[in-house]
Amino acid sequence: MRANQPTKRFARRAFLGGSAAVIGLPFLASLAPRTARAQLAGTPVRHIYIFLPNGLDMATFRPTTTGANYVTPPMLLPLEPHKNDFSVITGLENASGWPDGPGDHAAGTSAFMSCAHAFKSETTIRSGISADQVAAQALGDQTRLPSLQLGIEGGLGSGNCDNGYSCTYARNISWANPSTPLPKITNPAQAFNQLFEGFDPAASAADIARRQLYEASVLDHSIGQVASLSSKLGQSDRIKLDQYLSGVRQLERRLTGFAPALQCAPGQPPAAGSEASFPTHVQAMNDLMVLALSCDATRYISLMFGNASSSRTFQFLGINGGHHDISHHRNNPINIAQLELIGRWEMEQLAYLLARLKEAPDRAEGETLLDNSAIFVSSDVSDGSRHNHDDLPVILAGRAGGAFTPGRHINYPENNLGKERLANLFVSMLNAAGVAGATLGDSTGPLVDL
Amino acid sequence: MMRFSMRALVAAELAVALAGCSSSTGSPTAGDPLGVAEDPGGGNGAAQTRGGIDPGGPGVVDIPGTDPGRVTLHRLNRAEYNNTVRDLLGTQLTPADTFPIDDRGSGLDNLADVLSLSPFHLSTYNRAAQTLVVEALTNPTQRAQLVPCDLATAGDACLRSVLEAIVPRAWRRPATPEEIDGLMAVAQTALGQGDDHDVGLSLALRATLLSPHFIFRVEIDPDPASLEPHPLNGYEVASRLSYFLWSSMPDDELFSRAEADGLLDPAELSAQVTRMLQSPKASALVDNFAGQWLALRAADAVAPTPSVYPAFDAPLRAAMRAESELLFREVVFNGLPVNQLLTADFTFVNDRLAAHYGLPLPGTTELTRVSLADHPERVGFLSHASFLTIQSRPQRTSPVLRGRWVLDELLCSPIPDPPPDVNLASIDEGVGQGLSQREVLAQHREDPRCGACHNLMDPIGLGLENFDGIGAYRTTDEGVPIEAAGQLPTGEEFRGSAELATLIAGRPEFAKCVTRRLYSYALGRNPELIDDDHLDRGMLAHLESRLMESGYSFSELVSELVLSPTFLNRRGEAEGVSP
Repeated sequence: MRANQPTKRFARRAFLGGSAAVIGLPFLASLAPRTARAQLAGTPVRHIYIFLPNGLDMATFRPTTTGANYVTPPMLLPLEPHKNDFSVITGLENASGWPDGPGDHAAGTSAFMSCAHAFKSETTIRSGISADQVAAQALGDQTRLPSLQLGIEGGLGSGNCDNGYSCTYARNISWANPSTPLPKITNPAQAFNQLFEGFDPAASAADIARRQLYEASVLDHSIGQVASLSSKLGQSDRIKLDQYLSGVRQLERRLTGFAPALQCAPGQPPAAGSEASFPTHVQAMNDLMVLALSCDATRYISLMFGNASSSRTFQFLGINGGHHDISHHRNNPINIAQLELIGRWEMEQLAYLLARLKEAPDRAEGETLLDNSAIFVSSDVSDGSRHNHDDLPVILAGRAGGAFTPGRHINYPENNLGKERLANLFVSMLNAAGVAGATLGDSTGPLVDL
Repeated sequence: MMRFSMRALVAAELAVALAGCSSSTGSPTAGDPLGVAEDPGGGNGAAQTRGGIDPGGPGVVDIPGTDPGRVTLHRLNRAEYNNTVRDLLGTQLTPADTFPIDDRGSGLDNLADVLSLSPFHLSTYNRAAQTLVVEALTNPTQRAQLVPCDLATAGDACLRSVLEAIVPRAWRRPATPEEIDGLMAVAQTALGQGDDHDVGLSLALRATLLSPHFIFRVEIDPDPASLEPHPLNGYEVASRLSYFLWSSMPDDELFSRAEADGLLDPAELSAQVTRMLQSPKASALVDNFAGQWLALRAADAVAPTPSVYPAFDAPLRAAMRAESELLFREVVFNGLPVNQLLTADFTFVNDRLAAHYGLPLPGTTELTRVSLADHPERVGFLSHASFLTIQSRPQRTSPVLRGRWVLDELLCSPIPDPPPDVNLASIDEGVGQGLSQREVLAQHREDPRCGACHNLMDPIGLGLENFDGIGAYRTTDEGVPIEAAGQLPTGEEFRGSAELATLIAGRPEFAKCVTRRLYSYALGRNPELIDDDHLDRGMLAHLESRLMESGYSFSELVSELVLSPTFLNRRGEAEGVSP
């Protein structure tokens, strides 16, 4: 394994050149100076996307002034120690989240980072590629896993999800393409296994070579079968078969020696039972995200705190009602107080994540993972009682390798072109990661002044 | 003909009420038209004989339309995967428990269009295949079944014979010699490295289980781009039958009938249905069909607030789910008419559940059949603690949820979600202030934006208020005596769950609802109800009427469904058309 590493490193550099060529756009330092710096330093920019269900209480989320030195609003108090590491962003709209008739939570969730309008159906699934997958498909070949999807709620239960929208829309924020949702891993040990499967420092080079040969033999058989089956199928069937083939190809990459080596020893998997309570479950996922980035096992991660319309009860906060019911507050002070409490707890979890990223050294001397990350946090709707998809609550943390200047409240006022689009924020994140010329959903171009 | 006219009239009454809900919320999805626009008698002059099969005999009917539809390449869902490897390898492992949870459409997790795959799925399949193969080759019982020859001495010949036996079962159709050659080549990789035939076989078996022919239920159209209907082949019919009734692969008998083309014969098909419904494997219908239609799976997730319901505990949770499952088993296995799910004068309790219900204790922790002759208040599914708890809020009853569920799932009259700018927790605030649910909801309905739908849902749920949020009987709510008077949207009045059950069990919408849910479940797709040329609408009308004529016989409904042209035929699809 160790003997292999120089070759792997070399291969990765070759890949970098290759993907720049694939994107096919000239490198113009004057257009993207800060992005360029990160790229030239060779330190990648990572993305984390965090979904909070049921909106946030905007009254206690929104700072009263813009720019730096804003007074920290009540919900954001847990983030106070990291005030210079994130910006609060208001005024963005995700217009694709507006549903056809009722169904705001499902439509807003599937559009959360695809900015694509979900096709309203219980069975026909059409959304759009999500921002993390744009990055993963352009640059994911540089790590073991192109991307990782994490969640807290799996989605057992029964019944319909949201007014004629399939549960698929209510449970998935990562989409590889318009018809391929990427379900999240909710078990921390399973996520650990997915990240580090096959890592065996004790194995000899000969054993590893043999194992890879065997895996390749099994996977090649599947690939051969796809080839012969595909021509006999209709187009809807071929969508499923393509999904299958993509999965086999990713396995092949990871298990037969094509994926880059890990940058660390992963250590012990998460303790069994860490998913038993909501707080420990969230912390286990936060720890896993830091580990995954530290090891450079993947660079693009999404995490759902709950599925759309989550009915979780926050009994550890003294809240017995379901989150979704409470979010339909109609300005009732009891509900508002509970929503502030829930929001503040969610910000505590974010504070924990930022602290851990801030203490994790990155490749260059003196840099931390947080310096080279962009962490996006928002919800499917803004206000739970209005189900609006404009005026979204957004937190953007990290410096993205110097592309972003955090520490401010940035408000994008509506102008004669309308409301500023959330999709453009994702374009900025993608540009910072090195995906030049990226587009997404209804994007028109990167946001200025992040 | 008389009955059809009556049915249309009754449906219209419900639909008119629901249309009121629809207009008030401005929702385009509100209120299924309840078949008002549909002519259940069928016939638009374009009547055809039934698809690819002429069942002959007195049951022959003309179903309008020619299009049997098509089912998209169907990935095995978690239940189907677990059951399939159980029947294929004799394992008791359930590796699919670690697969991603299958997304639902229309409340079902076996709709082919919704069952997508991701790289994470493939990772879990790969790990499952490794685990299953290791177990199959090391567990002596499983190995004896799988490897009847001696791999060490008979080598390639033994290996090939093992594959020739298992691959057709795994892929649910005959395997070609070339396909076996392909797997032998996989095995050869290990032999070429100096490993033995055991290692070679394990690789070939892993490839078998990772194959798209295992992961998907494959049905092949002669021309995938042609809309011309064609009958399924016998193996495809065998799989449709086994995944419908068993959520699993076909057994040896189905395979041998398929080989002899027996499954293209209606009498043989009916005989197979009868046989399969007597197999213990038909309990998959309880787990996967009733578990979803009746929402029983949600029993594992309910979380009644401990301070409000200190009596709720794990044994009660388990017993309430088991009670409803056992009653549905009577429908599947013992000929209980399906509408008697609502009206049966017996149920199944153990001491824990009997105490909860105030019934005499049977003296056992096992659920035992008991008569309800002296306890009419506990008759039928609408009196079951499972339904009453699942359709409650954690800290109180919800006449709204209960009423809505009855309309949605027993009368197929869906109610839309409320508009966003209403306080969904406002009902909670009335609790603890000396107001009963009836009083709180009466205030709620005064808001005309709420009233339009709540006037339909609440009166149903209010008739069940004698049951608290975990299904215990009570006579007061917040100190206010309970007046369990209820009303259906048609105006029919009732008092308590037993009277409500009798009303619903006799309504044609109930037959329609059972039929629709089972039809989607059986085919793995939703019916196409708009296209006049599609057979689905006529088939549903036919199946509903057969269900009622047969005295609500579940096995009759299943048999008729299996004989449907839509179950036995399919077509390709036009290229380049997308929604």
